[in-house]
Amino acid sequence: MIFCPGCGTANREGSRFCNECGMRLVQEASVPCPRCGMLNPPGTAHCQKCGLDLARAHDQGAGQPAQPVPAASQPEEGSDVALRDEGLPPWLDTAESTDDPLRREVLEDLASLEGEPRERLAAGGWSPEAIPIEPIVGVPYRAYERSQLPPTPEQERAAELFASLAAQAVQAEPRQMSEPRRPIGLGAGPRRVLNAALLLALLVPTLLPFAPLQAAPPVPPAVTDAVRAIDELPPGAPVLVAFDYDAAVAGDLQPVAEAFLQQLTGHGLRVIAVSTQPEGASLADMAIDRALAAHPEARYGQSVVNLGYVAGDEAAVRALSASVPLAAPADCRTGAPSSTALALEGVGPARELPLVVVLARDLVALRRWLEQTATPYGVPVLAGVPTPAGLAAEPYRASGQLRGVVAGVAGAAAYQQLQAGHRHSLRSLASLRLGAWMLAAMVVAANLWALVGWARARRAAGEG
Amino acid sequence: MLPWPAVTAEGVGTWIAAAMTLLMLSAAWGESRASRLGMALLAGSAVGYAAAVAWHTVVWPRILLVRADPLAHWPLLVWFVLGVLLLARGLSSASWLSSISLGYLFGVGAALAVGGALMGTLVPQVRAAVGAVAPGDGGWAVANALILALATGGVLFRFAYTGWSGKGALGKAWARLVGAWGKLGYLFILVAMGALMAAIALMALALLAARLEFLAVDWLHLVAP
Repeated sequence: MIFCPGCGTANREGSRFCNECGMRLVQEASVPCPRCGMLNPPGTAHCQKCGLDLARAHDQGAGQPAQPVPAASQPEEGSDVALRDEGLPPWLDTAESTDDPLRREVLEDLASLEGEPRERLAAGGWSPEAIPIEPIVGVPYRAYERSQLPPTPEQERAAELFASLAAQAVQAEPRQMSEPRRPIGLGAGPRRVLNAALLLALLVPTLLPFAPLQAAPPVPPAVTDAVRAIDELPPGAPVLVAFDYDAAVAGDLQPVAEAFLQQLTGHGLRVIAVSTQPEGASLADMAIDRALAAHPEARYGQSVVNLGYVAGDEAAVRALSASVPLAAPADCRTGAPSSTALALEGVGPARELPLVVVLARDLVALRRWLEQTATPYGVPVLAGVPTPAGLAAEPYRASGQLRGVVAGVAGAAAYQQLQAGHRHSLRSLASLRLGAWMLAAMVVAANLWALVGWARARRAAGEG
Repeated sequence: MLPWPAVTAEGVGTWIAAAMTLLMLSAAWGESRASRLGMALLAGSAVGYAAAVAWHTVVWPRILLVRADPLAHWPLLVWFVLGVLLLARGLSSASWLSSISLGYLFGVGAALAVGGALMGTLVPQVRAAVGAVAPGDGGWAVANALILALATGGVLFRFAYTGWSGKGALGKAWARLVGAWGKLGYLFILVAMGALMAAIALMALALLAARLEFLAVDWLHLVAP
């Protein structure tokens, strides 16, 4: 245990600073201040607490320089012997006189003790066993506040110096200021201009169709496989569509969802929408509404049903694999029991369905279906994912776990090329194309700007 | 400009959504009270919506099932009890009760996740990688497999083994080979990260474009849907 010389708090062994007051705990040999009791590090000229000139104080007091004493908690070997021989600890003996308030207080404390120690004290003896050194080290400073002590000559001189400096008018000397570094970022004005330019680039293709921007993209094999997998199904077959995404990726994934639903409803398949994300239920509703508007022959409840949110992540997928009506007991839109929906007629476990379409916000959500349903039960799965997850999903298609992949707006536009009459995603793709070009131009311009600035700085440094 | 539709609940929702979108887009002009209000409303409404959906589609339908036929749906009562025990988390004296539910939750989740990752990803992907090149495959398949092997080994060496220093002539040669391979892997990492960043930027642009399209088409009816 280490006792703080400032507040007396007991700190754990090895502590460097007091837990209570934050004072540095001197653990090595230290020099005690004869005035306030502060344990100063060896070699300290003035007391760190009261400012007393330690060397002078010891010279005037005991006639010998201050000697380091062991730390309170780690008495050195032989110190007990020294104490016993000299009667009092060395730092107490170095006090200036018996009139010293510190010495007087300690002696009074010791005299107040009863029993054998008191008798020994009266006889001029000292018993380190009866009175350990720790409380003695801790008591003096707590007993005397700095304000009650008279100022030392050093403190008086320092106060006079401070007062004289404060009385003088401060005259700032001209300093050679270095040129401030130019901030790396742009100011508010240029930033607003760039933001406005980007917003315009995204908005203009929506308002003013421009044929080159709406050119049809190439159709990747993964998209062709997805379209073919749906076309191979007989009309009326049930297909589970999982809307496992939220608003954060809806810009990239909603066109994919709409493209899938357009083909599913157009082909006469029964669509059972579920979601393992709470927001997916409303996004599914939006996609369903668009699909029903495009195919008036399809009816909600008969061709399409939205069973809403199924909680539980992996467990939810497993539950759907075991039984769709049990895992999602109600129609999200009407509130009716799902068992009464015509679209669910004859539908039991998802593992027995001919196709599952997973619209996943990322690879984690997609893997959930692949690992819990597609791979264990061999259910054919198509994936709709945002653009970043498109590359990551490719190995699963290569291994045969995925039948097809449609990634992002570009994938949706390619998908809709293979369907007659649906070109909605091309408008989104046009906006995306112009925005991407604008963003690329900004990146190039920013790099050129930085390069020019760097070259100028180098030239200026060379001339300087 | 197209004619405006009649005021319906859906129309009111569209106006609210448009106002929220404009609040968020105001951050493009600079962070302001409007954009901060938009963020706060977005976060609050998302949490509120999730709670409402959970009640509407998860809890309430099951309550109806139990009420209609308790004998047939008695297992649901067990899940209700487990769910109620979770509420004890907020009581210091009875918080231990929630450990039962949490233990079950984490146990089932971990079992499904680990088992699924092993049998649904690791084994099939290793099998597919091993069988990536069949004897009858053409040149492109072989080239793809070679690039895959080079990239995989290079990235592994870059991260784990490039610090090896071999002893003897053979060891030094191996160390040089591993070092060079690791540098190749570093290039693959750069290319992959660049492609990933570009894809993420495209996704963000797509989201922004979708919101602008919503404002122009669904809210202002400037063009036909």
